Amino acid sequence: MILEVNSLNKQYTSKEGKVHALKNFDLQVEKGEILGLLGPNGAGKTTAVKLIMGFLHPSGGDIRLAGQVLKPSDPRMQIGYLPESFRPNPNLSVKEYLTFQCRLAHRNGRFVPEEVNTLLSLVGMERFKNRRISNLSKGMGQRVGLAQAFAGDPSILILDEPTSGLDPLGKGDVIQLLLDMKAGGKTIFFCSHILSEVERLCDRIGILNEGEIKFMGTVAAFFEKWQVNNLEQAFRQEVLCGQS
Amino acid sequence: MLIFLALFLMFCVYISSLSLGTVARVIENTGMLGITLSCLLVTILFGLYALYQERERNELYVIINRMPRGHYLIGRFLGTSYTVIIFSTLMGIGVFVLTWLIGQKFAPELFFAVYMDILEFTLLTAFGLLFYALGLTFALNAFLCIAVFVLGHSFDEAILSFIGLGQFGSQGHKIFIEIVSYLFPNFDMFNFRLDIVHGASIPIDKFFYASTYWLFYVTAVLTLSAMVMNRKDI
Repeated sequence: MILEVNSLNKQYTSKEGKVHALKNFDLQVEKGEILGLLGPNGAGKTTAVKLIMGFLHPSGGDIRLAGQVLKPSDPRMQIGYLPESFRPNPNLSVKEYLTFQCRLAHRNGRFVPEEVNTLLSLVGMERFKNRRISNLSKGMGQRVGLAQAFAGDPSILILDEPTSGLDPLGKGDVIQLLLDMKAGGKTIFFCSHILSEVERLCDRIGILNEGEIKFMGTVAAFFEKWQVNNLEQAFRQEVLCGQS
Repeated sequence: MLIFLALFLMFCVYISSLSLGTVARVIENTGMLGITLSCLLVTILFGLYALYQERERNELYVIINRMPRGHYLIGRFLGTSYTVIIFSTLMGIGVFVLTWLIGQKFAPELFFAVYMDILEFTLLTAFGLLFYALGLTFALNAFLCIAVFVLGHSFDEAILSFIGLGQFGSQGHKIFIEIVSYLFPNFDMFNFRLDIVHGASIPIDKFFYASTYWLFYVTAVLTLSAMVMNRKDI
């Protein structure tokens, strides 16, 4: 098991009073699998990801990476992360930006310039390496975002809505890239509310609604639970059942 | 910076015809004031604004995923300080050259004022990073930095006034004012503009005192910023 989350809780106080954003959130990601976390808007997916990444302090629970407990606000060098709606520095070229991220990823070790070329070819951006990021399309910018997540060869990739804001062509590129990663044995955990890409990519899925995990298992098991053969129907049943 | 120097050159040529033989003094005084205001803009618009833009692009998360938050703040501090150093040095060279050519005065002591500006605005940058770590918006951060700058330059006068008032008040009032005077940054300590303009000698012990004050204050503010940022949700 690469990533283990046990009884993660997050509460905070807002104008409306106390909000329990995440309740007893459990998660296990096995090596080499793609696990997708699905949920409607406001379910707590990004909160869960930010807690795992240490950007938020949990109210309870713990997170382990390869057996080691991760402390909040500590850097997670072994995790490659792509945040939602990510835009890299527009003033740098693609190569400059990836060089910067590779140097960061190898802060405690030796930076190898060839890694930048490897990342560029991984995401199909070799031809655009000298182009300024401000002149890239959104899909290309997202590819640069994925490339930086791979810097330092992390144990696991955590991607928050990796196809958000992309047109169908851009989405197709990113999904194909993730499928290639899967074939290469990469461990990926990602959040999405787009059912079609989850169905296509994931070995297992988790359904999050109102801060709680409602289901964790394979897509086939999810269909069986609701006696349907369509992910959208099963998802709708799960969410509506939780709200009633 | 080039626009500043070009405008300043035009101003110098114009003022040399009006200043009744005090051209050098006018150029030095206005030049140093211009450097101060430019450094203030650089600190806020290049230093602090870049921080908020990085957060808006969600690029902040990708960076602090790979480094401790304190290191990120120190890196940002050093980057902004580097920009302030370059700007103020180049503008200082420009004012020095104009004072020499138009004002007919060789004034290397201008670089002392440049050094003091660097100390002042790097300290202000540290305050900007503290306000950022506290989660303030860019507008509020910029406003508070300007407020710190203005109050820091009113310090000597304000303290004297309060101490004066304190003579009619309680001992507690006086102690309170003394505590505030140690906690609040005193930017008047970095201000030698009038001494330079009027050709007064600059005491070397003030140079070392100001540098030591800067070192301890910057260290304290950056340490506090790192502690705050480590404890906050981002």
